[in-house]
Amino acid sequence: MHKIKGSFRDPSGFLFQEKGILYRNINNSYKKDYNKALFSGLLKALWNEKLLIKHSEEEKERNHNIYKIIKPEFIPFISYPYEWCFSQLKDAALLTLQIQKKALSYEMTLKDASAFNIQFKKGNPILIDTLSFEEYEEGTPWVAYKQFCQHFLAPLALMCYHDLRLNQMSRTSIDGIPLEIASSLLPRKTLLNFSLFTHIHLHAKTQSFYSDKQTSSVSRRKLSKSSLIAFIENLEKAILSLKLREIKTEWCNYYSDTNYSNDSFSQKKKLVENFLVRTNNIKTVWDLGGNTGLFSRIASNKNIATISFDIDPIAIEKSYILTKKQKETNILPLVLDLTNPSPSLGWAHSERDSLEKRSNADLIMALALIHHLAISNNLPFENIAEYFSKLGKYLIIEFIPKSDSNTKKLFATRKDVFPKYNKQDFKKSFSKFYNIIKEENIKNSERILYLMKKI
Amino acid sequence: MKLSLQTLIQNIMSALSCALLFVYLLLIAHDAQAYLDPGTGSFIFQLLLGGALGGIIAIKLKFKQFKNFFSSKLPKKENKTRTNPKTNTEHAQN
Repeated sequence: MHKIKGSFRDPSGFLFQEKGILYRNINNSYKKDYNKALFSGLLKALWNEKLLIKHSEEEKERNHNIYKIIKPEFIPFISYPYEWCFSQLKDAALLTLQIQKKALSYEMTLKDASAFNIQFKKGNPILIDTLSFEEYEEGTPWVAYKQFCQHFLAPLALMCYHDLRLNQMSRTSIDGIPLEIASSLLPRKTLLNFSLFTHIHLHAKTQSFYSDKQTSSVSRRKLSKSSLIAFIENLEKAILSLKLREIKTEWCNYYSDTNYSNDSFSQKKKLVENFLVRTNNIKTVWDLGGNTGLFSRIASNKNIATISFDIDPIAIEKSYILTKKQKETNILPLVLDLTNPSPSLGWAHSERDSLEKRSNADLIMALALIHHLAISNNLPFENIAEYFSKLGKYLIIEFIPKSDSNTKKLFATRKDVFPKYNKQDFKKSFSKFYNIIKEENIKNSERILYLMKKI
Repeated sequence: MKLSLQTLIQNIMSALSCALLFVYLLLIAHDAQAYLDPGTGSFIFQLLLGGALGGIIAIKLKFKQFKNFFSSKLPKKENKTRTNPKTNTEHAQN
């Protein structure tokens, strides 16, 4: 049994892995709440609406502290809120509130509202923590309100009113963005928005007022259930009111601004498709620098579980909206700066895994990416090859020579200090980690597409 | 115009309720039993805002009942435009 190190916050149970299968222990202390959630019909209602991950109860040997062992359905890839675009975080927030309202109708409540408890499965957000419910006591406020504001409302408001990249603050603040920081960063006009004025600005002020006050006197003050529901609905309105303005980024019109002909573009798509066919038994593809997911969808349309990573939050936003519109189940668009990928985070670096630790790809795609890594980020080919080889077994990579107009743009304001940026050195460096299986020129361009297999 | 007046009344009511509850709750705190720290300020703020929002909904409901009560007592005005009996039947069937 291998206990998942990050599963320590909630005393109701913990996650462990055995022979590669993930299980969840339910401690005796959680017995009453688990049975209430199960026998009241709450779990079934949430399963029917695909809001909560399903599980089966396992007959396994257990010690006297353990009430039950359950096996949750498999989530192929665990992503984190700082890797989500605006709409992914917004959908996760709305899901949390929907579940809280549903739980209240079964006389239960969510005892936490962590964005890390939400994952994307077959294109939709889903709650993965079955032990998040506890019996609702009439009169008690929502214990997870602060966490909800820090994990969802604050980053969404900052993304909406300040800058989309501020979602990255969730990386440094693992338990959500502190509200006093959010309040100080948000523009003054948000004081006129009733929801943001109350849930962020006034909320932050109340927190700071009470930060050094003695609170031993117990109040008899209660919050009625109808008021609590009105409160949750008000939070829901606050989240729904946050909408992205039209923002133009460097990459959002990428495919309409390509420097090669329609013929070359079609041929490139065909080549990628052929390479995918050549590599048998590919189950997962990671498309690095996938932009709005045009090439990622070649893989996902072949029933391959595909993650489309890109640095541009708008490109990922567009891709996610398309995923929802087309009800796609095999593609997960995620925001990622490959030059600074998600690290291991939290207590003892073990609460959230780095990108590398989560790598499960059979094939990596890196199309029109190499010049950005090697020239814009000064990365030697060998470093790129080494890192890619840690992420997946096969590699489809496009080499873009210095003579290409897009590469020339990168030299517009800087000196060419890359004498080794050429096809020969590219092949030599990658051959240290890969066998080159196929090499194809993209017609009417100077670009070359390679299929490689890890040595 | 009618709508904006209603919104204005709502805003005034919510601001007043918030102010009153805020003053009240600044004097009294509440302990919570949970594995997650709800944060004292957050906890109190929720009581404040939740109470105000719940109050507004209750007042709105009472106002609606009050309005319905009087409108049922007043003689009904004749409709200037005749309703289509066929449409009414269709609605009834639905």
